[in-house]
Amino acid sequence: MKNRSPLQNKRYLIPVVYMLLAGLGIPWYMPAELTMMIFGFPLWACVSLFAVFIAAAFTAWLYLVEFADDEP
Amino acid sequence: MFELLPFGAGAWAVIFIYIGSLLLFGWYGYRSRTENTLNDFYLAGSGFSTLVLLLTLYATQYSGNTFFAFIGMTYRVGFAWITSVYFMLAIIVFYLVYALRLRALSKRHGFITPVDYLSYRFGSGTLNLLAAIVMIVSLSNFLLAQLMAMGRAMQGMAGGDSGIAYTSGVIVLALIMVVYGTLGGLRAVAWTDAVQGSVLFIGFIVLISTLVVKFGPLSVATAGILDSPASAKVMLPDADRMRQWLSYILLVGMGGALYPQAIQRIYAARSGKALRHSLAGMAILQVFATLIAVIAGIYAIAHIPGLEGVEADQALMRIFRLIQEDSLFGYWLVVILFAAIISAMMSTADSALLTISSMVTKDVYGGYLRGNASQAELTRVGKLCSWALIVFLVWLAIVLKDKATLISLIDRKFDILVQLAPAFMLGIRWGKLRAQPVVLGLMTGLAVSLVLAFGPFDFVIGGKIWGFHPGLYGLLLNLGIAVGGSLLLSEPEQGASPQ
Repeated sequence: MKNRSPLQNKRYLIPVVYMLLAGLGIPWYMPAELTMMIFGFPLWACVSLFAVFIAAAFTAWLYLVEFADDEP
Repeated sequence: MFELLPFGAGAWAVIFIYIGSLLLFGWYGYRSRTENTLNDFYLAGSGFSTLVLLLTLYATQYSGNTFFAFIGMTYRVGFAWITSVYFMLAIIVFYLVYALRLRALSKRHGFITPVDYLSYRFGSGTLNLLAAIVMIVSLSNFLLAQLMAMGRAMQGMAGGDSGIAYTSGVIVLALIMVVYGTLGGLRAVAWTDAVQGSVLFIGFIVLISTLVVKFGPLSVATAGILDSPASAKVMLPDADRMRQWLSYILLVGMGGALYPQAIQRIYAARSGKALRHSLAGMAILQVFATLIAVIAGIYAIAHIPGLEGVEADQALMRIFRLIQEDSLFGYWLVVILFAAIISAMMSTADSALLTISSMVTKDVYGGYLRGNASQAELTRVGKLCSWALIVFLVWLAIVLKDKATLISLIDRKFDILVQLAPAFMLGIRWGKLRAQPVVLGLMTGLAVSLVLAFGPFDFVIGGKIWGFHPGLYGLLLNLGIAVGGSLLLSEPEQGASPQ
């Protein structure tokens, strides 16, 4: 039996999610003078890595669940 | 060259046995063939299961060469090369657009090469030829980068006259590679991918752990960099670097998803489920594998200062030396990693070689010269083509030894490969896309990208315009022409569905 797509007719949200994560991950909004370090990573790099981890998990979910029936 | 290397005879014996064992994969692949056909040779017959597919896709996107290039690039720009984690993931994201549908179509219609899909979807001889040229040129560039990286790997371990190590390394390794690749086809290449991919992933986790034990945690390395002239490599990237970040995500994300050898692996998936599960695994694996390279690069900035220009690509080899000299464990870790990296480069190069040979054979020789050739003849021509091409590229790798950094080779390849995005990614999703506008868009995109990349323009800084790769400007025009032209052409009638 084929999986039902959880997003159904809202797949336009997928690129929106990726754009938001790219917007969060590329640290254009960070103040340059902030030099805080976390485990050897500058803060901006930590935020950026957090965003890419979320994006990776989201992508894996899309393949395993959302796109389970995406074949013509 | 042996006396110039810091490895002892035992280590060299292990490396040669490790690399020599690749020939066994070739022989085993040859024995496992079920028929003398293009499908069996280039797509491994019935295809790969989830695990082999995952590891071969991983090794295709993330080769031994990538370790050198990414650690070298981190050495140049610092933490900002977290960019690489993004664009490697972006490849898997762009597969969402077309890979699953493409696999289903390939099974239904018996595709062998990427051009087979274009032929089925658009039926345009001009598009087929153009796309074949684009892919063959990009892949040759990719293959050349692998060969050069093999030479650099040998050079990095050499002492005095490293030019000899480079040249002999390229020749000997290319020879072994072409022998096992032409024997075992995609089976041999994918199996070596699977082994090297596993050894490298585990080996690099151990390497990072060893660096932590030897030099202390990353925080110590970062603090050291902050106190050095390289402190800018920890700071927030400037606006231009952030634009490049976005540019890399789009260019490498789309271009990497259009690697012709990866498209053939999509065809070679045993089932849709196997492909989906492999790509889901890749999404997670890529992030960690790329981050490991970035962390290794940060340690290199802190502990191996002073590498300039092309030398930065040798940062990994310098790390190896430090580890190797530190303990017996470190010594043997480096021996295994060195052998695995060289083998991974060879299997990556071989998959490119295999794909080029499949396209020359099926799309050019079978498509234009001898349409009635038998499968056995085409397979034989494919193998001959592999030998001829490798001789030419080995010569080129030797001539170009000091001419370009690894990353600049990677950049140009994607600029042209990404121009195929409308034909593949849009073509599979939008039934109204027509052949003529796609051809015109592709030609325009290629022309714009190449003129911008290689023309004498003041506004092109570091190969980029306002931080964006020339290929993306070309793609914008390409896409505009393909979509606009298709809308104009399809107005009088309803567009046909691609499926």
